[in-house]
Amino acid sequence: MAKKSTPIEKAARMLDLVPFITSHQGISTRDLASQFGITEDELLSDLNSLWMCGDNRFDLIDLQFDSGYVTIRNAETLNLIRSLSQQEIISILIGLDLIEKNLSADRSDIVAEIAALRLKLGESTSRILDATPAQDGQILAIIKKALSDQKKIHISYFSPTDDEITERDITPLHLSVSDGRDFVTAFCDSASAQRTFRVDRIQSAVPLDTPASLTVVPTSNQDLVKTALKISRNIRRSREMLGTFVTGDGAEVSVSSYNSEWLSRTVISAAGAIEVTESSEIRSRIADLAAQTLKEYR
Amino acid sequence: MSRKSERLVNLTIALLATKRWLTKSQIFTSIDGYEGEPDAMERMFERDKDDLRNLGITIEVGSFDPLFEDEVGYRIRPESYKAHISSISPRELSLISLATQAWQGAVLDSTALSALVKLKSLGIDSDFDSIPAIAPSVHISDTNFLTIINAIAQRQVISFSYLNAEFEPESRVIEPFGAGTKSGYWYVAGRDLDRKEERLFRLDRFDSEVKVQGKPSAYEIPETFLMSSALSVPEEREIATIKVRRDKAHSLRSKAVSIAEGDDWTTLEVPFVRESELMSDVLWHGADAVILAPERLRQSAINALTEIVQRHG
Repeated sequence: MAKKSTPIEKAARMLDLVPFITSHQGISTRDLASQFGITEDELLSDLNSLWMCGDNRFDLIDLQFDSGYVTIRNAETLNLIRSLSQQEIISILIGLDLIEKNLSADRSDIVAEIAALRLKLGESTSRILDATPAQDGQILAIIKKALSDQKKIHISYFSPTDDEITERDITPLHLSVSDGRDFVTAFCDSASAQRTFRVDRIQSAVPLDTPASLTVVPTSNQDLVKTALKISRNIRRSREMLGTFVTGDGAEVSVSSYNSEWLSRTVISAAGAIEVTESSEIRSRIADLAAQTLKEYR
Repeated sequence: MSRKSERLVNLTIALLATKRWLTKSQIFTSIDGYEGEPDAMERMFERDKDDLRNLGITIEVGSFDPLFEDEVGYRIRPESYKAHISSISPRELSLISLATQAWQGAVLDSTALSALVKLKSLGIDSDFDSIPAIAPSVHISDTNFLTIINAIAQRQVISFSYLNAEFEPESRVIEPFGAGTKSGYWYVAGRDLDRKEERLFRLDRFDSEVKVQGKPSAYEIPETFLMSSALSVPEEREIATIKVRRDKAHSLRSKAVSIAEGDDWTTLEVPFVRESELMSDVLWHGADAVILAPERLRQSAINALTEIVQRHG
């Protein structure tokens, strides 16, 4: 799980444990650890430290947790919920923003509740934040549910490289994150193979009642095509278009990709700023594509 | 290790419980963990005060007798220590809970969790059934983001190296006003102190760690500032007329404000702000999309394509 906490993080957690246990008397050490995002061992270490706390002249905290269930008494002084830090408020406000922008139009009740929460958390912090989700949170929720229920879903998927929208029944297998985006790896019935889909390109998703197809099919090994490129202007933008596939500093770069169609489209859309230097096969492919396009302008 | 955290908790208890100011010598004799030479204890106490302050706990300094200023005492006011959010409904708690889930695996993961734990300490049940199934997610792991939001919260000037359009690092000094995300990218808006105007920066274009400069409360965020406006698309847009092949160029179709279907070709009216972006979008589709108007844009497409043919031929 998380990295080892610092003494300061531990102290903060000990302070926060007191009011939490007070309002959840008898909670199991297991649940308590998971609420705080720590292991049970870490929690026991926290509780042992807390048990020894309290000023001799004042009261010692009466903390019981031998049975695997935690109760607390005599902690009046610390039984205060600490005020939320700016960072904590910011984390909530950004999350609320993402939820609000994913609501369907008929949920004005929740829009109103989020507005009320913003007031409680601080309007002045709210206005300096703005978060628009990169993808549809309702679609991600459908995928997550299908994963846990082991059910299929029907999706419409847009592929910019193939310039087509396809309809597929898929069985989600796992979610992953790459370059800041969510991906779902799934068994695709139409392809009869495992495929990975970018969640923000799934245009719609409908849960199906069909149980999962769990045939494990090895992914086909495509060949990586390595290409050398020279960027003559708009270097930052050109590099960003080549995305995570780019290596090398500055203007002379190389790109490894599975898809030469994607590469030619990217090069031509850079409007002349990117030149392929190797291989000659890709060079002529791009020259042909540009020449054909040019013909449409004559 | 654990002695330190216990000492911090004990110090907090003692300073919260006291009705009167506690002097340093009272603190050193009554709280376990302050040991050694007087100088060492002094340094320990100073560090502990800083650490508590960083946790957002304010230690007040005062004196018993205004005439004897050397008798300084310390305490924590319960009023300033505790959260002032008392009325939260089960549904609101569920929304907050969902909001904090967005940070799983991202840079504010533990922050969001500690916020949630504090609010759950109110002892309210949640009511997940009445809110729609939405899975918000952000995936920012850039620690510069933490530095930036802390600097915004403290109103501290920051400096960093930023890649310009030619991919060269430039040093920037800004008063950060706000932060946000759009289309999967993260941004910070602020006043650029060298260029003397408000600018927007994309976090993945930062070329260095963000450094915090100077003291807190160094500036004010203008009352008119809204991050949502800083990230919004300008109103003034031009329209391009583009013909696209039947059943092709889906991404252009989805941006079009009007679509006239023909036999082999469909004519689209596509609004745009930046010429270079529209040009890329159109060229991506190769011979399936052709700019008809404005003439200036049509000509630059022809020039770009001619250049590509020459360079690759």
